[in-house]
Amino acid sequence: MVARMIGGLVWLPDRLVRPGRLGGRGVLAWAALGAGIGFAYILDPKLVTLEHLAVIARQAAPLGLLAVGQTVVILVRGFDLSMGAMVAFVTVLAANLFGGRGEVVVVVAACLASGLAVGAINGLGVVYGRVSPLIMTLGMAFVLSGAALIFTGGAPTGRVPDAVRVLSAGHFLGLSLSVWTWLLVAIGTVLVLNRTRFGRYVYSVGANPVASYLSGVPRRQVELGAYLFAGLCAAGGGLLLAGFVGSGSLGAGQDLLLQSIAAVVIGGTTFEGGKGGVSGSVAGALFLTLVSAILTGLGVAKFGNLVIQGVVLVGAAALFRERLGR
Amino acid sequence: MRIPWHRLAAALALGALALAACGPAATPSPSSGASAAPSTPPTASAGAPTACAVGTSELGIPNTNAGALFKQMTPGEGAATVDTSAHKKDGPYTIGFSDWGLVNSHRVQTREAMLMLAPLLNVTLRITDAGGDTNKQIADVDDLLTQNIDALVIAPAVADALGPAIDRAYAKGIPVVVFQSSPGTDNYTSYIHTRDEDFGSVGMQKLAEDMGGRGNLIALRGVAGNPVETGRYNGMRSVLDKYPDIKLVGEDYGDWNEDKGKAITQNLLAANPQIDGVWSSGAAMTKGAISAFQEAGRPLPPMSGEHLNGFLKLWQQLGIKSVAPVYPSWMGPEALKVAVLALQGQCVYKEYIPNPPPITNAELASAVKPDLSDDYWVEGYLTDEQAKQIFP
Repeated sequence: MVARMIGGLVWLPDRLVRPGRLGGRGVLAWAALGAGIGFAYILDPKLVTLEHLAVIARQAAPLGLLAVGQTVVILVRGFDLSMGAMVAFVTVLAANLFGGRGEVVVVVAACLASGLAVGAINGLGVVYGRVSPLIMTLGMAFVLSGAALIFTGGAPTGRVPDAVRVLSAGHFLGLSLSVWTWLLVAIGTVLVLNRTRFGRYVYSVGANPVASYLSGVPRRQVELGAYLFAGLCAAGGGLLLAGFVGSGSLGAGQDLLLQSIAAVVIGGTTFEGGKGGVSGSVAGALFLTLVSAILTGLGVAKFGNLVIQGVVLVGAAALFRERLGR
Repeated sequence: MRIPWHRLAAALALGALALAACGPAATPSPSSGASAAPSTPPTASAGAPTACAVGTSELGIPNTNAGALFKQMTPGEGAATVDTSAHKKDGPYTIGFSDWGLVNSHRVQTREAMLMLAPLLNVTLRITDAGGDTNKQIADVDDLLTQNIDALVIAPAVADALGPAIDRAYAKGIPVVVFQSSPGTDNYTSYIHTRDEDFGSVGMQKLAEDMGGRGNLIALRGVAGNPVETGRYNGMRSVLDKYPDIKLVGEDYGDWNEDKGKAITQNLLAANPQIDGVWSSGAAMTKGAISAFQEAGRPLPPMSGEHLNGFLKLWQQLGIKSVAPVYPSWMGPEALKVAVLALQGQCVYKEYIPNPPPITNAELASAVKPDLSDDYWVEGYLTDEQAKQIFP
């Protein structure tokens, strides 16, 4: 099975790639992002200086990484509601593993491995256990929250290794390393989804599971792969957040789950499956963070922020809704 | 090709929100109270009919801390006295503690201090944990009542929400001692709670002095709609009103989280080239703010904090101007003592108010515990050994 999965990642020749998937709906989210920046510039140019945009991008990175994973799961008609709890679990794990004195490579590897393990359990439960993704991943969220509590005894403690903090504090070409991490993962995912067999399977499974199964697509492996990837992204998002904060925190990631789904929807990926892509979700995550940052800067506190996020979400969902009866 | 109506509608919605973005600041209003956090609206000590004379409240234990009620706590203003002679019985006692949940080290310290105190008071403690859920806590109280407890100590998950459960416990004829959040009924023996306004005003007063009475201020608030948050914020505003030259240039809710406190500060830093002071509703957000200022390469202005050891260490190390108001974690063990006083038949007050002094620059050097965990809340209640036991 693993061999088949890796085989699915082989680069496809140009003639086998369906054109026009790179842009599509995601373009609208990027346009919204651009409009948001322009709008903010009119209100107060200080809010969207290049310097502050870099800061906003860094704030968006954990959410954005989650959104990338969430996109792939939603593309195969799934859901991962355990991502927020996974983030909290990983921040606690990163701060406490080996008393905070472990080798950074080991800490990062352990965190990512826990993400893979959680993704595997989610995937096996959904694909082979035939549990509804909603129930499976929600249950997993409870388990992870409980595990984080047991791990810390209720008192999140410890310090994140400095090398993990570098993810947030370190810079390359003006952007935080966490932003680079996120963008590289996103670009890689776009390429895999568009240029490999696995990517084509993801879209075909999402578009029509029965038809794709009948035509020989290994549906189960594809779905399992999606959940594995989502688990990995959630763990990565947790590491980025841990780097941002510097210590373990049980409250971390609470809002990230719903925001990750919102980012995916704003980015044009629909719950019907098989439609959308990662690029839009990246823009969606940036857009949500930008709105929140601008509103804080303008003095419109959280309430305005929540209202606007809700309106954007519903607006995007309506925009991308497929016409019935086609 | 015709344009589907729903796309037009969506476009309109996007336009509408663009307009909303430049609207006036939303007015804070109490939200659904989803947060499981303590609260303390002042409760009038409702007429307990039986007056009595409160004595020294000595518990008859040869231990400095456990021997009597903690000195940093006074009876509420005009609080009634409660005659507990009907509860009098000999130990050992079994006391139920309905805890709303372990969510941070403050709550851990409360519970562990109670567990340490219990054997000294000849008490077996039965603890339930509601995980922040009011419904679970109501069931917890009923469970505890079936276990023949001699007294109930309760920290409600949500203010005023546990009234019926507390009524049932009180109707059983056992002492009921409530702490942190308001009971939502008058049927209890005693209630220990802080004045959250003081927390906010103490921090702001010192901050205003450190700012020299002028400059731009930002405020990092807690969980929107939470009564503790509102109390602290109102306390801050009451002091701010006295300083017309201090301008509140920005504020937002950081949910008492370090990451959100940091993100908010970053955004406010971008909007305001000059920030001369940071008022914060909690230590974690102050830590986030410090980190945001440092990464932006901006000088650290005076900031208000809280008595968390990790923050005190940072404060000392960076040499900033700050003040740490104290929100005591020792309300729990003190509530346990009051419950035992009631079981001993001693007269108690219906209301107690802790009023611990804040930690200022002058006390910092003696207050900070370099050898103890960052998660320890420094308040001069536990010994260093006890603190080490709780947070190794």
